[in-house]
Amino acid sequence: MRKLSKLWFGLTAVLASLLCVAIVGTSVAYDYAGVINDALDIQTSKIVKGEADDNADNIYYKSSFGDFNEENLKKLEAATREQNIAEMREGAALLKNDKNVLPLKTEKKISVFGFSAVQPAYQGSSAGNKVTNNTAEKTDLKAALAKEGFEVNETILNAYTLPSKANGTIGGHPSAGTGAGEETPAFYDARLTEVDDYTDAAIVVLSRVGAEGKDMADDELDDDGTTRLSSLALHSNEREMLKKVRNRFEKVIVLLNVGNPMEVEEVKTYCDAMLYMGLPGNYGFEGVAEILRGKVNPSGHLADTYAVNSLSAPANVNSGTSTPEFTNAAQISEQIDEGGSENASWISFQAESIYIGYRYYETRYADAIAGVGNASDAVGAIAGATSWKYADEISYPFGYGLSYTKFTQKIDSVNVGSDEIEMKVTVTNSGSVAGKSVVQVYAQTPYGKYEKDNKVEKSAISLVGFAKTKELAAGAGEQVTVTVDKYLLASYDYINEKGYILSGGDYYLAIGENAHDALNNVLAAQGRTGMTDENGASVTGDKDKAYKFSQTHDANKYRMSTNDVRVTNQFDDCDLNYFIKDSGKYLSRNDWKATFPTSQTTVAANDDMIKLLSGETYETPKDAPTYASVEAQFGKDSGLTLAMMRDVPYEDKITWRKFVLQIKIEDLPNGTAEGFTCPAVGTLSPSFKVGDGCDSNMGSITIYEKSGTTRPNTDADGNVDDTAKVKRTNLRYCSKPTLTGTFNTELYAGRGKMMGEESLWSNLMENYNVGADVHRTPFGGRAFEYMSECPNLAYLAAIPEVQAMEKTGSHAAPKHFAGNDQETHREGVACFFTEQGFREGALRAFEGALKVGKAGGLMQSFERLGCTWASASYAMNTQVLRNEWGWKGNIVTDAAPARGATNFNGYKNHAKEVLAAGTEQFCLDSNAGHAKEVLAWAKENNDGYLVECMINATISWEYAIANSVLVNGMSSADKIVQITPWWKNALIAVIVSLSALTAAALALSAVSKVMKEKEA
Amino acid sequence: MKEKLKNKTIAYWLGCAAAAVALVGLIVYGVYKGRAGEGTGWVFALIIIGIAAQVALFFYDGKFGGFIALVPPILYFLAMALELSGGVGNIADEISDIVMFGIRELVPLNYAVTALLGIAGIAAIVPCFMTREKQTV
Repeated sequence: MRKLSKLWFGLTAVLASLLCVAIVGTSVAYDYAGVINDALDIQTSKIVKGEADDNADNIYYKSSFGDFNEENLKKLEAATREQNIAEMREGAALLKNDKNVLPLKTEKKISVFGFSAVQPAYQGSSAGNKVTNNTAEKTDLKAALAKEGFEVNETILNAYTLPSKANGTIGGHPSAGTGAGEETPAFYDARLTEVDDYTDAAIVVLSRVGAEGKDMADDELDDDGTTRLSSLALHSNEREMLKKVRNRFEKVIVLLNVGNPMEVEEVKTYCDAMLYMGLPGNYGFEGVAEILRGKVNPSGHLADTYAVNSLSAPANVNSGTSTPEFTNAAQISEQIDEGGSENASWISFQAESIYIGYRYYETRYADAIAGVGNASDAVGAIAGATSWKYADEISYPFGYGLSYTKFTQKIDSVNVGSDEIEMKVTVTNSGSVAGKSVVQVYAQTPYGKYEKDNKVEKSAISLVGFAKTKELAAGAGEQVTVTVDKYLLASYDYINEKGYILSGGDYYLAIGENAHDALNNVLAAQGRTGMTDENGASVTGDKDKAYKFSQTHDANKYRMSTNDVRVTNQFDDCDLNYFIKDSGKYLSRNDWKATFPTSQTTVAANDDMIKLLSGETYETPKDAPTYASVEAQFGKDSGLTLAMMRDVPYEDKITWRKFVLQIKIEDLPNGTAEGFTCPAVGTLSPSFKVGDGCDSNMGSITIYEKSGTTRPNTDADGNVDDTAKVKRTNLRYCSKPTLTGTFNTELYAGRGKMMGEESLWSNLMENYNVGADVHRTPFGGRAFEYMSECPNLAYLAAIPEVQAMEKTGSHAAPKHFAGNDQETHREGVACFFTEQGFREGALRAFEGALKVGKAGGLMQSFERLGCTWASASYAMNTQVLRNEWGWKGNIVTDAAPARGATNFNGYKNHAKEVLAAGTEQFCLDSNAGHAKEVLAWAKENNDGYLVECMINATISWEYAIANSVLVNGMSSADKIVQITPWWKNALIAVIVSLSALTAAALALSAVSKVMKEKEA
Repeated sequence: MKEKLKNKTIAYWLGCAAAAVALVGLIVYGVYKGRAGEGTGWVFALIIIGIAAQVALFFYDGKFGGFIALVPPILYFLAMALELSGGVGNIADEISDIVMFGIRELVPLNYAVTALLGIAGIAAIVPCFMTREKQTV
């Protein structure tokens, strides 16, 4: 043995090293248990069937495509594909069509330019399945054009060298966040020698797309290496490409493959036609090609303003890649941020108030026409201008979109009721081809002395309703009815009434081709002159397209919410001036010159602010029950099962509480645990999956070999005894602004239905899919998955999508609630705003989906509201969401993975405050790390209040589960049993074995050493 | 001192090479932490102790030398595991093409530290099987 001394030492080193790795690795594996189970397709619970009526139909949520089998899956596939294409057919907006160059009725041989023609942004980079050049189930541009009979010059297409990430395995589009990436002028000189006879038309694809965590850059280096410009501006390589193509071809068509509104004023000069298409998903290019060919008449309208200079929006100054720091950021960090993850350095003062997108440009235009508010002052005007002129600022207004035909729209009647206004409009196709028309209804509400005195800001025009006709043949007409909720005409008065008011004075409702056209019609009705269109051409407006009525000042109409709760200020501490007097100046139309933000706003956070930024604010309420008193209520079998709870109303908290209290208190944290695979909650509910992705449900549908359905066969003990036969990846639909731009409620509902069906077939309890955040600036990194710059449009468009999805049995869970309007520094940026700006902006955009649409869940956002993380905001999550809106869904944080005590120090890990605020589940915390820590703290500090918060969280979670596809197949007699995954046992066995071997090797090392020394 | 230098075998110098590699890993980990990378400060301590043990073996490789030689590889591997534990979120995001668990731009640093500490650990294990000082007859 002594001769083996070195061997024992060596083996000890090997075994001890392996043991270290195994222990740490096991810890990591436990933290990521949900991810591992998901990857290995392991169930952590099973359903043990009880004795029940076998004849009972317990498939509570049925697919509209029939039974869950392979044959019907093909029908679902076809329907999702059709939805995807239809979104593009009706959402693509024709922005320019000189001399009716489109449609290309007879053209055959065409050339396509732009690197995005071969490497398009099929989607932005965020959650959901990705379409790449490697995706088999897709239609790329070339294939789509071929399908419509175009022959594309392949020599040119093949000349593009795909970037290293061209196949999109990581990061999606290769130029996310930047406008760079186009090929050089020399490249295009060479390509133009290859045109051959493919000269019938040229199609140029321009692309812009942001990404999760990555806004489009406010400022970057141009391709020329010297000029600085915004990423949304035309870059020099693009300019040179366009010039060369323009010089070579008679017909040039530009496709805007953009997730953000690109600056296109100069692009106009190089093309005959321009089509906004957004991001196409799997099959959207087919819709594009159909529009180019004329098979489909475009009817989409822009859901955003296209400004000449995107930086001209007042919201830009303090946001995105230009977000400033607190002036004492270093001190804040020193005081509260030992771990470096409190993320409390950044401040975004929302100086723009309500004036986002067209609400700024059109309001300033109206005031310039009226000659009030110093609106024509040069402040905020395009570079070099001596005065502010609308036509200098705007390329295409909100709601803009051309057609291959002409429509006339006439207001037939307006009926102003106490709650709603009904407008009937006759639309006539006065052109020569069939098409659909959108009736856009806008409102102007009074901006008088009261409003000026009390800082109630008003947009000169706001979208309040819309309708789309069916396809009208040439000469045909249709009367559509648009119902406007008067709530959308109310303004939030945070100074005096501290609630919503209907201002006293004259109201105007107007129809128009777009927001600017509608405003001009209002101005015409007011007898104004001097109006222009977006090109600067003089127009008169049409007073007959506006309707005037009067209203007295009314602060009571919306005093009480629909949930019969007094609506009042909740966000006073989100106004920077609350903490530091006169530190922030908000934009007011009362004086554009004096209030337009020309420099960044930042402050030194004071002690009160730093205390809130620390996130450590929880104090046990004085009337809190003791931990022991609450703990004693657990473990009482009430005989209630999940299937029984299906019909129990959310309001019946007594029964729900009985249901939840059947478990052991140790299992309670799982009621707050969310992950791609969520764990079983004791014996209450099984483990399950959720989906994620605004335009694509991440994941796939499986049809199993033995069962022949979407659920695997199980043996007598409930264990899975089946294998996958067919796997179908869920579809990627068009980007949200494209869907929103259809202005078609049937397509909104179609999206909800299709994503709901995919979720139903995938057995997903809910899906984080309705992106409702406002496009606060044109640079938002995730603008592609949020609907619009207009909160009213988001409000209205979300309702049918949510309602349709909720019917399927898989919940819609809008995200990111609320105010997640920048990606740069999104984690923890402190946003300051007026309560009016927040309520009529970020909150309004979600109000439709949640309060009206009654979505079953939601995902929160990363930023701070004032100094408090959105998930720790009692004002937003309890006062507004629960109390005012009466919402009944489950509230999930944005990604807040917990790794136990090892990194329990970030701004997202103040779990006590988060639970006390009314937030219920922690995203990507399938091991319930946050809640376990809170439960331990509650026990140690004898705090029963936090346990009650977790009970409430579990009730919301179980309510959503019980009313979802998860109960399909379950009867009231069925029980849930938890299963320990095999890999957990295996890892423990490895650690025990290695420990024993290491100890043995160490002992032998010592013994051999001693023997050797004795011998010596 | 000169005598000690002469007396060291290739095994000892291999341990020194391992320590040098671990030191580079330490520096790269410092860069990673400087970029707000998730991880524990124990990684620094473990590597430093491992290197210190290797230095100690220069001066003393007597009765307990074999046990001291066990310290560097174990601590390098433990540091590697802890570093990977902190970086697993970054790696998960990189593999999944999402932004949820970590900062995927830091993944190259995670890989670099893992590789360096893995190499250091293996290099430090080898001397445990060998004699680090020349046998005097």
